[in-house]
Amino acid sequence: MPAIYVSDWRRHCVWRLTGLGDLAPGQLGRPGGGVGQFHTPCGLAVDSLGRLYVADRGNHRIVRVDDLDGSGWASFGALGPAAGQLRWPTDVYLDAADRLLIADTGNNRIVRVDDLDGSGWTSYGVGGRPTAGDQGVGKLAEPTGVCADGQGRICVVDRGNGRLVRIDDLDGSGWVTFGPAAAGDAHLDGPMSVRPDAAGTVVVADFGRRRLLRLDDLGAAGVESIIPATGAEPGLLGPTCATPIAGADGDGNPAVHLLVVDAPSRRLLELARDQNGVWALAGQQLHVGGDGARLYGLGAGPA
Amino acid sequence: MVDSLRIVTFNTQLRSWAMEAGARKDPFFAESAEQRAKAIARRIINSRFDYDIVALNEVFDEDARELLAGELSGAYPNALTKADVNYVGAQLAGAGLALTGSVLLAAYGIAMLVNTKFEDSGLMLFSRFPFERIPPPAGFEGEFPTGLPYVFFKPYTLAEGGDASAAKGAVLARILLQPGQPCDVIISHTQAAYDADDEHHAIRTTQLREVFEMVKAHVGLPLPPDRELFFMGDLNVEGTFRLTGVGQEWTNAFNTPGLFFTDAIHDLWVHEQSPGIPAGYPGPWDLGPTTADGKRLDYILHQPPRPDRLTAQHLSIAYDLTTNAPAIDGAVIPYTSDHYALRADLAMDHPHCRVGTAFGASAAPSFQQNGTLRPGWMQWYRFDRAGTYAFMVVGLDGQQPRFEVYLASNMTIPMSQYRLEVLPDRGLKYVLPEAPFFVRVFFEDRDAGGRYQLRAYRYTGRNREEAIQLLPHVPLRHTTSATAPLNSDDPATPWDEGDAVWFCIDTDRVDSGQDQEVRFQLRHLYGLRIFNLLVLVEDGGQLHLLDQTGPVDAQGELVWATHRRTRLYLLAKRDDPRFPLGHPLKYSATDLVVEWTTNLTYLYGLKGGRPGNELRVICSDETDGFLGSEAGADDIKIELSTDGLVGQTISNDDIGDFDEGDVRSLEPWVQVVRYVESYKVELVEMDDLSEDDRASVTIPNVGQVEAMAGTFALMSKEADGTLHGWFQIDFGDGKYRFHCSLARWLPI
Repeated sequence: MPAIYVSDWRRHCVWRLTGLGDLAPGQLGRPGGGVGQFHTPCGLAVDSLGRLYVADRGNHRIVRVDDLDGSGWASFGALGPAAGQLRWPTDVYLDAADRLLIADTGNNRIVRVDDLDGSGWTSYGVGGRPTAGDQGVGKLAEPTGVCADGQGRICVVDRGNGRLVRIDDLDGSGWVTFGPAAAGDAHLDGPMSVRPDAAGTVVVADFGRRRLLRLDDLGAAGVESIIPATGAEPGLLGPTCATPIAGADGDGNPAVHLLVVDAPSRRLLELARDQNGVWALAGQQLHVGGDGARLYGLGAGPA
Repeated sequence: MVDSLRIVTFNTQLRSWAMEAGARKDPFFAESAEQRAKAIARRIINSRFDYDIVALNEVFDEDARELLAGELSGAYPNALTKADVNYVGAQLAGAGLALTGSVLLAAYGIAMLVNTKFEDSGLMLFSRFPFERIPPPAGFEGEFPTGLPYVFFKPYTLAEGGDASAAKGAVLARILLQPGQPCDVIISHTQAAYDADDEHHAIRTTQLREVFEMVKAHVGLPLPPDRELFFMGDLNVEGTFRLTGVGQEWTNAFNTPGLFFTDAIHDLWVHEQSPGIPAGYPGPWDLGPTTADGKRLDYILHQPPRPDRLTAQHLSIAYDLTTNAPAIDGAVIPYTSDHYALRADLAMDHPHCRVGTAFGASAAPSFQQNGTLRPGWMQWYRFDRAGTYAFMVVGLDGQQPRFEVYLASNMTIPMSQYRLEVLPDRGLKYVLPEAPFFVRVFFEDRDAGGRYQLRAYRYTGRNREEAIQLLPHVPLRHTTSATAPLNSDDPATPWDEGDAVWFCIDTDRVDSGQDQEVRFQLRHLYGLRIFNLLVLVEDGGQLHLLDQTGPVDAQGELVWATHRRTRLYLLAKRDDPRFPLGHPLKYSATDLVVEWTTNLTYLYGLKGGRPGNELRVICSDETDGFLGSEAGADDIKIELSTDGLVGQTISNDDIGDFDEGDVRSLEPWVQVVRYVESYKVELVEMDDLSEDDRASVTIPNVGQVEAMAGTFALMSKEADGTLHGWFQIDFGDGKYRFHCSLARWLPI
């Protein structure tokens, strides 16, 4: 299993686990705005070199470290609406070229930079809402999640508008949405994050509906609402992030598993399809951080 | 024997972040549990009620729990700090104790249960008195040399919905009030009803059965006659039965002869505090709501009175724990919980020590009675005639007792002395709009005792000092005395005011500066033209004749307008010239009716000097985002307008964000509003991305409010037309409630 990173915004730190059996995870961060400090860390990403990126929400910046010892600490962003500035960034993701995609939540936009020096700054989105006669193309309301799918298209959790947006690039081309809807699968209620899985689909953590949503495409086809079978164990109470990891099915064949942060229960769970194709608990679940934990983001990197 | 005991139970709504985040669908909501816990702890410690035992429900937030345990440990060194299926935390004489697996099994017979719950029971119990100790189990003598506390936690076998995530159960603690005087205290928070009052009632029935089994196992049946047993907490059984009559679940649970929870221990509020319900329902009796939306869910059950046991002298709602308190660390706390705390003041049973056994005061204008109070005791007196009174209590042994006056419709908030007036040699003036009402005599100092004399005097109207206070829109029928003039002319007045009855009214300033308009009417009950109506105004202590009319027959009316706080006297003066001595109507007893009306309305809450409905805003349905999404809180600010003038804005920073079910008290900002046309409450939902949404209610004169069907919900109404209820404020995609009281007069 790869190294797993989980952010804890209450304790202003990031935990690193070697697997779901790790009862003594490593930790980085203490409260504050300086080096080695976080304020409400949320979304996480790991680049191809194994470096960790943290959306340091309360400090309005993105932080990168080489390791949990804090080495290689670098950051990008300061509070504001201008280029080079961020406001309550909630998520960070690295595309295939290791460029940073940032959900700049408070500025109602998505930002892309080539590196933490801010080079290649591009942004997309203005604050706004769809109305009955206006689909609100280009409008975002406090986006909290962002990723690139298997085809390099950019998927955005437009949380305040209750929808998932996909665009081909940050020029807004290819705009399609899933949701909003008053009911049914497309009714997203407080979705938090989105991540691609190996099969080219995306997985959305729909916090308010206590489910995951797996979408082959943003159209009506290939929509799978996941409320896992957990037996005697409690089900999902509010997932904030789900990321696919490589696993195996019951016959030992490769299969996609989902690693999920269920924030209210302070658990990290691994889900896999059972023999009937139903998503269910696979292996262990781990309580992380104790009673005071506020888990949020999830990153998986090299072991 | 301990002679006095004061206890309180409080659902603190200190839910964990996990619970709140799930309910709000937002992990980043503004958390307030720690701040509210600090406020609750300080209010408990500083309460003049001087609690001995404090039972808390719904303390799920771990930081709040630690804070409460720490802050209260000085005043309450004995505590149950946590009760979970496989863990009991306690404090003994201030020292922490953690009881887990093998100790629980060995000492209490509790099998080590696998904890599948995310939350513990949420129960905490604090006591000034020590717990009874049980010997340490074999093998643990060294670890617990002074023994273990008699504190037993029984997890319930059933729970549904959100309750299933917590280790719901009941705690039984044996507290030694003094050596040889054990007192069993059971606390619990039973299954919640989420959508309808009787939802999950079968589960609550099962849980109550498990409490009964716990009593059977630990206390024994029948209950030992010399041991106190209390069962208290948020039991989630709706007990106000305001709208639908006596509730079946309440009847089944707490009012069925033959059942343990009716015969052996009973619902103190109904059976001892307001003995007129349920048999007398509907009636004047206080229903004792304990939640923000007017339900009675919190209970204290105890054995029926008997001479050698503690008896509940007074139950009341501890508003001081939820509102009306100073800021904490410089920040206003607009609420601490969506429940009110319920408290009981107990003492060894003695005559007239509670409402149900109050001494019946005579109907004569003058009444006096001697009594004796031991430390912690109180005495109750019942009066069955409304009117204007003066009361005085005199200590006969050096220490000065106090008294408070309560209407039967509210046994928590006493009536205030009327405008701080005093009738010389008689006492403090009170205007009581309805009967029965009760006078409670007690010592402020709990350790004080002694003899006293209570004196009561009902105003007769025979002179200016004893002018009978008229309440607006409440016609007063007055029977004049026979065989003598109604009063003697006072040479100090520049007009003849002999053979007249004195009444008085008070005007007030209006917040908007507009005039208050008043009308006076006098008529003889049988239409005889034998009275004149004189209206006098007091100015600088002097009286001036403002107007007069008469002799009146069916009705005589005068109109006046003022923008000042002024006293007016109304004199019903017998038309002497027409009835010389020897005339059969001269000095005959007869009936007249006097009334005044006004366009002034008072809007008030807990600070109006009389029972009031706390001024508060409740979010009953959060506003929607696009297509019904309710993720994220409503950023609300409140604008308040009196007679069309915007007078006050409560910012979002002060009042905070609202999610569904959130309660905010407005008492820190609004106390009493006086208006003649309307009072407007406008909520502004501030939205960074579009126009602000606005929704409002315009509250008219109190006389027109009941006609606002669909907008106003009446919770209760007093005899003088005072209304307690709430107004709906509708955004279209979200709904709020504004709770208040509306009256035509206040005693302050």
